[in-house]
Order: sequence, then C-alpha cells, then structure tokens
Amino acid sequence: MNLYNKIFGNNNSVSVKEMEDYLSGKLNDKEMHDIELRAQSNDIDFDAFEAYQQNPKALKNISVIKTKVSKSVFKTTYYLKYFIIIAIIISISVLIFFYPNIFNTKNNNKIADNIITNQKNEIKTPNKQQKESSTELFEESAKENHTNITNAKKEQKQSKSNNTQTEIIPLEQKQAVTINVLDSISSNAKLGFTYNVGIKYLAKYKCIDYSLYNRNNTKKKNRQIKGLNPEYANLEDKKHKQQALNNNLNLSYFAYLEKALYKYKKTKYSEAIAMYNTILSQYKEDLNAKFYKAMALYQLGKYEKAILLYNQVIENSINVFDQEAEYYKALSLLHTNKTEAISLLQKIADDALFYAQKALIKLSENE
Amino acid sequence: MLLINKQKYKNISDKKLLDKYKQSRNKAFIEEIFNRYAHLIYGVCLKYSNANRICKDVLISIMEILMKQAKTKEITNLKSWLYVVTKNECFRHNKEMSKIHSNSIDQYNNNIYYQENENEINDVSDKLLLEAIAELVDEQKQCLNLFYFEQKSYKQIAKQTGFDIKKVKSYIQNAKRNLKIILSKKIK
Repeated sequence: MNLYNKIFGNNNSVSVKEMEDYLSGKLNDKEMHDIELRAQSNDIDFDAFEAYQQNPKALKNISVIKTKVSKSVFKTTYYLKYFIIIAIIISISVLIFFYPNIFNTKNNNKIADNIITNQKNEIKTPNKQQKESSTELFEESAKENHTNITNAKKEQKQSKSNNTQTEIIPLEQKQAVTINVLDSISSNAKLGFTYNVGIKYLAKYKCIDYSLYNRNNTKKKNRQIKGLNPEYANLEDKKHKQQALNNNLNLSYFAYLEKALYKYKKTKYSEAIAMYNTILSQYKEDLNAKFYKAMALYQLGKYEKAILLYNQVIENSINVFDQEAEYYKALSLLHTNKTEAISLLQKIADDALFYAQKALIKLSENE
Repeated sequence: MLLINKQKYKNISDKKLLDKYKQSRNKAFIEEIFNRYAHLIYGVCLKYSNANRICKDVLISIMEILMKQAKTKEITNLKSWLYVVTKNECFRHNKEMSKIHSNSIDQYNNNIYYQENENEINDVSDKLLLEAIAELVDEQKQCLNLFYFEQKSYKQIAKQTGFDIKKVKSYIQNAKRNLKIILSKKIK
C-alpha cells in the first residue's frame, strides 16, 4: 500500500458497539489506534466520533431513534411485509378449509407403503375361539411401526365424531395410492395362485385396489332438499341439523376403508360393520367391504348372514378373497350345516392352496 | 423476513445498493444504507444542531432526500454525500428554529453544497507525498507521522508529545486537509 492510501484510504466505519467499547476504556493501545484510524478516514466518521466522545450517553439513544425513523420513513415496506405474512396465513387456512384431507392423504400413503413391505399371503383375522390371535395381531403391529398406530389412533378419534355422517369421495377424484402390485402377485404365484386384479394392504389387511380401474355401478348422491322436512319442528331445528351436516368430513375411499379395518383390528366389529355398510351404500359391489363385513359378522357369531356375503364374494369374478371366503364360509358352516362344511373343507384341502393344511386340521377335528 | 433481508444485503456495497434501488425503487435497499450509517448521521447532527430533538427530523429528511436523489442522480461517494447533506440539513433546521424563536438575522447563509469529485487526487507518489508532508507545520507533521506511520493512538501521542488529546486530533485532521491542498497545487 502506498503512503497516500495509508493516510487517505477509505476504511470501514466504526460501529456503535466499537464506539461504546472505545469510550468505556476497555481497549488496548493497538485496538484504540485501529478505531481512531477508521474514525480519521472520513469527515462523517470523524465528526460523529467526536460528537459521541463529547456526549457518550447519546449512543444509548441510537437504537430507539433508529426504530422511530425507520417506522416513519420505511413504513410502507413494513406494511408490505405484514401484508405478505397475513396473505400467506389466509391462503393456507383457506386451503386447509377447502381441502381438509390434503395432509391426511399423504399420511395414508405412508401407512400403505410401510405395510406393503410386511405383506403376507394370509389374511390375519382375530378368531373368536382363539382370543390370543387377535391380541397377537395387535402386538405385532405395535412392535412393527409405532407411527402407524399413532396415525391410526388419530384417525379413529376423527372418525368417532363423524362416523355416521361421513361421505366417501369417489375414487376417480382422488389420486391412486402407489403400491407395488407386482410384489404381491409374485409372492402368491409361488403357491400357484395369482390374483386377477391389483391389491394393496391397508392396516395390514389385504384389499382390492379399486384405484386401478373404474367402477360403473357407483350410486350417485342426490341430496337436494327443498322446503321444510316434516322431521323438523321448526326452521331453527333444521339449521342445527344443517350445521351438523356441514361439519361432515370428506374422506377418500381408502382412508375410510382403512379406518374401518382399524375398527375391525381392534375387535370393534359392530362399528366396523356400520362403516362397511356406508361403503356398500355407495359402492354396491365393493368386495373389500363385503368380505370384511362378512368377517366381522363371523366374529359376532352371525354365521348365516356371513355365509350369504361369503357366497357373494366367491361368486364375484375378482378372485382376491376367494380362498379366504371359502375357508371362513366352511368355518361358518360348521356352526350351521356341518355336512356341507366338511365337503367344503375337503374341497379346500384338495385344491392344495394356502388354506389346505388348515382345512385338513379342521377336518380331523370334526371327524 | 426482516432478518433474512438484513443478512441478504449485508455484503452488498453502498454503490450496488444505490444502483439496485435505482432499478427497483425498493425501499429495503435504502433501509440497509440507513442501518449502516444512521449512527454516523446522528453523530454529525449532534455536533452541528442546536437542539438534540432536531436530529430525528434531520435523519428523516436525509433519508427522503436520498430516496429522491438516488432515483435520478449518481452518488459515487455515499459517505461524503451523507456528510455534506447532513451538515446542510442541520444548518437548515437550525435556521428554521432560530426564525421561529427570535427572528434573528440569517446566520447560516454560507451553506455547503455537495459536489461530486470536488478535491479528488489520484496517483500520488510516495516521494511527492513526503515532500508535501515536509511543508506542514511541525506539530502537524509530528502528529501525522506518529499516528499513520508509527501506529500510535491519540493517548500515546499526547503522552509522547505533551499535547492535549483534542489538539492531537485537530493536528492530524488539519494536517490531512493541508496535505490535500499542497498536493493539489503540486499536481497542477
């Protein structure tokens, strides 16, 4: 550096903190020289430095004056910042208000993804006669993934309040949950059996993935009400009812089915049946709802009703639940029509599929 | 958001801030300049104003002048510009105050107007500078040498020379001013 720059070169301004340190006498000679050198570099620094040396208390007022001046000169900038923050908050709340499931669906995807890695060929069902199996099932899932269960609990809490009034959104409106269908098919193929549709796992239970094809027989909702319905005493009553209806929670098909399966898993069979009925009111031929409703009825000991549903499941062209439906139909028949049950168990054993061994055990028990 | 802006503009030079303000008219750039130099402007106000309460008004008017001028004019040396404009504003406010209180005769008629590149000197050789220093008064020469070449603080210089600290400061300040005058004459 040449001598001219040493004397007349521009240095950084002295900050308030440095001035405070200098005036308090904390600094050594070298540090003091450094600050003095910077104060000498420019007229504005020199005069300000001199003014604060004469009036050190003024340094303490700077922050207050800066805030006041900043607010009066740059207030529009402040307002703009506040406006942007408020606008963001409003848009997020509007988004949540109109699309309450925007975050829920993501959670469901995660649950489904976690479960698919632990998929098994057998549908685990809590048996009335062997209470152990239902507790085992619950413990297993608890060990496996804590987050799954907490999510499920949250969802159950939600569904408690909205259980009877929940609407199911047709699948076409929702994005299909991505699952690895090929894996499930290949693992079944080892047993010499393949599914004729895509499947997925919800709450550890096998389900038909209806998002992979269209359903034509969906019942369209028609809820146009005009005038005062005789069920209300006055308009006030109607208002309350309307408000309750407005609080309905919109759920995707899979989210609702998963909730129903969690109910089933927790042995709340009658609540699960009510939820399957809600699904069946909209999707008359829904096999997931039909099969698991039959299972719930079986657990409740309503074997005849269960058998009717098992028959419908077996007759359906979709073969996802065929083996299970046959086996549990046979178990149900053991309570109603033993001879038919034995012949059906014999057929299952002859087919040599997954339930063959179990069927043989049941046959030996009933001989 | 405020913190993000502060961090974002921290490393931008004064000139770039002014250029960006000129292009975008975004007050946030001027706000950064205000944050950098408010304490210096306030200090100058304290020195030149008659009443401390004027300082806040001066700060506001300087920022308004800066926002107005930066839109059209090129300000190359912001610190010098701020110094001159702050002094002018202090004198103007003092004048208004004195008019209100005593209707006294205009005593601040000799306002200083800022001119860009007023006394700019470039490419000064060490030899020329040493010649110019030699022409200074002995006290100024002594203080200048001790301060810039021996890196002594005011306190140390005062102790060594026996001058008062205030005198040391003014000798150095005057030495710099005189050096510029001598150098400009020599270059011409």
